[in-house]
Amino acid sequence: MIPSIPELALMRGLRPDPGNNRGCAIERRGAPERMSRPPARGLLAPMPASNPVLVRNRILSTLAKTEYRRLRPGLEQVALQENEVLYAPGDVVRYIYFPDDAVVSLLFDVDGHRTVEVAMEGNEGAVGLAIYLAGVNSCNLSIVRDPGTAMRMEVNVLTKCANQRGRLQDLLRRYVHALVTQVAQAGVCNRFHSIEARLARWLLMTQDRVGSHELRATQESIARMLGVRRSSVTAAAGRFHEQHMIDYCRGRIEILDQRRLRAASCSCYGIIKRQYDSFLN
Amino acid sequence: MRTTPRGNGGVSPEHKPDLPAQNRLLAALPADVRERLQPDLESVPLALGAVIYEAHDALSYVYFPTTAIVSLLYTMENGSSAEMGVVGCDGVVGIAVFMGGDTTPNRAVVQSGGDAFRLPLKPFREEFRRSGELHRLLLLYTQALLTQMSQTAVCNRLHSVEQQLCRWLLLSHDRLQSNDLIMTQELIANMLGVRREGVSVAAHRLQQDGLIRYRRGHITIIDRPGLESRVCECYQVVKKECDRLLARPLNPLGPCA
Repeated sequence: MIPSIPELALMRGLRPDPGNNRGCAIERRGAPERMSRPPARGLLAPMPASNPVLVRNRILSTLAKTEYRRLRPGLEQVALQENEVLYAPGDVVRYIYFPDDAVVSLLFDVDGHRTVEVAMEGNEGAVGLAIYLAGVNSCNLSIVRDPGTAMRMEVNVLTKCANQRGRLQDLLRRYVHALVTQVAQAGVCNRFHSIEARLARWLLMTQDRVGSHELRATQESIARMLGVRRSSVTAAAGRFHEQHMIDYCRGRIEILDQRRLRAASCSCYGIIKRQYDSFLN
Repeated sequence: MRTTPRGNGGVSPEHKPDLPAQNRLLAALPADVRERLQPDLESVPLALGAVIYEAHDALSYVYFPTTAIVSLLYTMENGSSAEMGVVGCDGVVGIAVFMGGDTTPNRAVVQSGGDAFRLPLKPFREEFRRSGELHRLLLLYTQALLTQMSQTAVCNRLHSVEQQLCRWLLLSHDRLQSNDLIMTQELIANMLGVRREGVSVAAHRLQQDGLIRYRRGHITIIDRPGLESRVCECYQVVKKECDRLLARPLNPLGPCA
């Protein structure tokens, strides 16, 4: 039974914003800072609008300067910590996150005791947007897999901005469509393709989002994400290592030969990448 | 107008003429929106196996199924494919049109013959751009579809063929107005992306236990509660999310409403 938004608000001691009929903008009584779980560790102070911030998020950097300037006062740069939960089932979306180099995993809970990654969202993304469309998050867990920075914006401010002239609304819709493609394509990929091909796809997709050859991931965590046994990941990673395509040690994986890794991956990587590249054009 | 054979038992004998209201999205639209769309809405038969669009096709229409069920299939380079989403009277085929992705790498194939309403892109886009109720409903529907695809991905990976078969039968049954599905085990195997033998074994068990009956291309659901007790949680997750988002029971006109 999914509680209604007012019930949910009551359960959490929250107050729905009466001005928003989807009840998505919710404030915590007395402590307006943040609504998802861990207290905001390492939050950078919001930067003054005049201060240039290097924005690597592809949605924000695709916007025209004038439109970005209009958004800027509502954007706040934050540091996202590893394993920080941005949205858990039952949460109401207050912020949309535009990651620069952080990567967020969209996990689905299975049988109440394990989770599987159904998508990753990074510098091309707007984390929380798909959940926001639904009003309240009923099924998925958005968790920071690779720490880094992101710009975030309150949903009601974002909605206002998206309703003004400009490309934002269109880009956000296109983003959700690309996300749908990622979930579905990765879904069939995991069904049909070898662990090696899937691991290669996963590494390349992560690299695209982190923007670095060096990834933070253990074989354990990759196995969890791909929903396979750890030993299978070890074997596949071992083969890539032998062929000097990757190097790894203690929770770090370095991509040495992207071209050959791409050849080892399945067509799903290209299909998903094209969908993401085209939504920004 | 109905030139294509239905080839489908998915329509009750006392079949009434199709009304836009048989599609949940169209039914949920306020009267003024429906009146604006009405002149452009055209009822079309969708025959079993018909391809609505191929991967990367530019679409000319969006389809709102009433009695037809459409599979969203994602394909691999070697030609194998799996169904990641199913659209019936609860939804719309062609989200790329309004989400702005232009084209999409999936194909849409009619899984159960029946009818749909289709709408040409121009009037559809005009209404969508008004940012009214159609806009709001379609974004909610997109989220429901995203949940369905995510859950399907998880289910395909982790659950038994029998559980997946139960999920697939129940999702289809929700979208049909009859207990009869026109469907071969071969086709189900293709949808689920598993071997045919796996589907045969699972279907045989369900038949032995009196939950379904099958014969040459027909599957009859005999014991729906029985199927519900055997299915994995994925079915309920998808159904609840869809119901919650669209806030109307699925198949309001059907026998299992």
